[in-house]
Amino acid sequence: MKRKIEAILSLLCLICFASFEIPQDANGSWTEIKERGLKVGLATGEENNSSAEEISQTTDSIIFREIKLLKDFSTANSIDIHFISGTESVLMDSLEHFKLHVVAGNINKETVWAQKATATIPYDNKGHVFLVPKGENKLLVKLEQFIEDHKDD
Amino acid sequence: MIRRSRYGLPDSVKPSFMKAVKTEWITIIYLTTVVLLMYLIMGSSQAMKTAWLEDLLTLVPPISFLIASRYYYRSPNKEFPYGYHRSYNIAFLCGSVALFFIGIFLMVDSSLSLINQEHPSIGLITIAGYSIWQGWLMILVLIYSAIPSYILGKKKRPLAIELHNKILFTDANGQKADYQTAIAAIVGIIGIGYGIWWADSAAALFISFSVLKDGVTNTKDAVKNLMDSAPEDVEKGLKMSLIKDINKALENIHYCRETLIRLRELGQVYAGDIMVVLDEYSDLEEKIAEMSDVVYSIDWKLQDIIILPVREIRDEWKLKEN
Repeated sequence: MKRKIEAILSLLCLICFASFEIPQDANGSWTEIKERGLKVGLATGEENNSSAEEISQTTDSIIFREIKLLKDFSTANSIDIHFISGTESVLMDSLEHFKLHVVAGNINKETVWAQKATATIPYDNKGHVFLVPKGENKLLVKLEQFIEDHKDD
Repeated sequence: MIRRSRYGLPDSVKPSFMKAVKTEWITIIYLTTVVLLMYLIMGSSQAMKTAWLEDLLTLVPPISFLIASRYYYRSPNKEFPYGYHRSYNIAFLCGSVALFFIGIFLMVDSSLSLINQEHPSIGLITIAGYSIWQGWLMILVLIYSAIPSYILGKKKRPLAIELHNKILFTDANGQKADYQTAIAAIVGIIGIGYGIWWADSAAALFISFSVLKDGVTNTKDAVKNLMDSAPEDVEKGLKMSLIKDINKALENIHYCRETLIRLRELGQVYAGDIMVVLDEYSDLEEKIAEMSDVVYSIDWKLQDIIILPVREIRDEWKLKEN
């Protein structure tokens, strides 16, 4: 019984200690973002060859809102932001291999890519989400906290 | 000659049985809340999924116990001449087989997660305007799944021993050990929190081993019961000293010269036959009645005993050591 109590107390201590550190990224994405900036993939259709620069000038309300939200997020966290454009499949491959931190571009929470990446909470009432690499929980929590705070903007 | 003592429990253990029924109802209600809460917040954690499935399975023994408790006491009839006591054995077997297969499923599932290097993601959850990391909520639910479970398991254990009820004992043990599952899952979630992606699948694998171990042990025990194995003590799994006690009691009756006893478990009670060699065979009915009274007074669990007067115990009837 004494051993059990010791084990439970140790676990409680671990939990208390952990609360200041948790969650962390499995692949250190947030540390990398702080050092080198946030790399965002903007998904375009197969026929669309627009550059990230062109896309960022778009008036399409969804893309416009996504870019604004991510720019605000980078400003709030004092980090640089870089946009890259491409098709969903190419961007998802980069996200899976930790070459990108976020993929945006009119992606719904029911997306088929949810198997390969993690969807954030929706930033609007239509269920639009951003995708982040799996296991990057600090980045996920930071982004979701920002979305939660700016949902009604 | 058959003289049955009763088809139910003696009055002395009925309060314990009613207490066991009440505790099982509390367990079902409590476990349902645990299963629902876990389902709502389990996210993509493999350890949470495994702990959730384990908790879902923990519902099988109390449900089986309550179903069997509605049948076991019914008197024998033409369709079931030996009564319904074995409903407990059936319930025990069903629960054990379910535990065994889920154990295998969980082991394969968590091994695949490890092999495929699946990185679990746990994000934010907002409750009443407050956002917290979902992992904390998971840990809270796991603590809720462990502490009352441990207390219920501790309360059921003495009742199971008194009632000689294996499914109740399995249930008590399973619940008492639930805190280990919860601790393993908590370690897995803290592991995810620290960015150790494999901690979650490793915790799930550890839990699956414990589920599988219980499944194997209980299935083996349930099959042994259905094979009419000699009665075993519920708590320690040792052969009961009951045969020695019956022998001793019958030896004290002056006309009993030799006995051969075979007992088997019928749910939570024992049935069997006793061959007796007598010094003289007059007034046979009275003698058998007297011997039956002596046997039934030894233990309430002896409930369907046939006493066969024979001229001699033949060698081929004698039971060999295994």
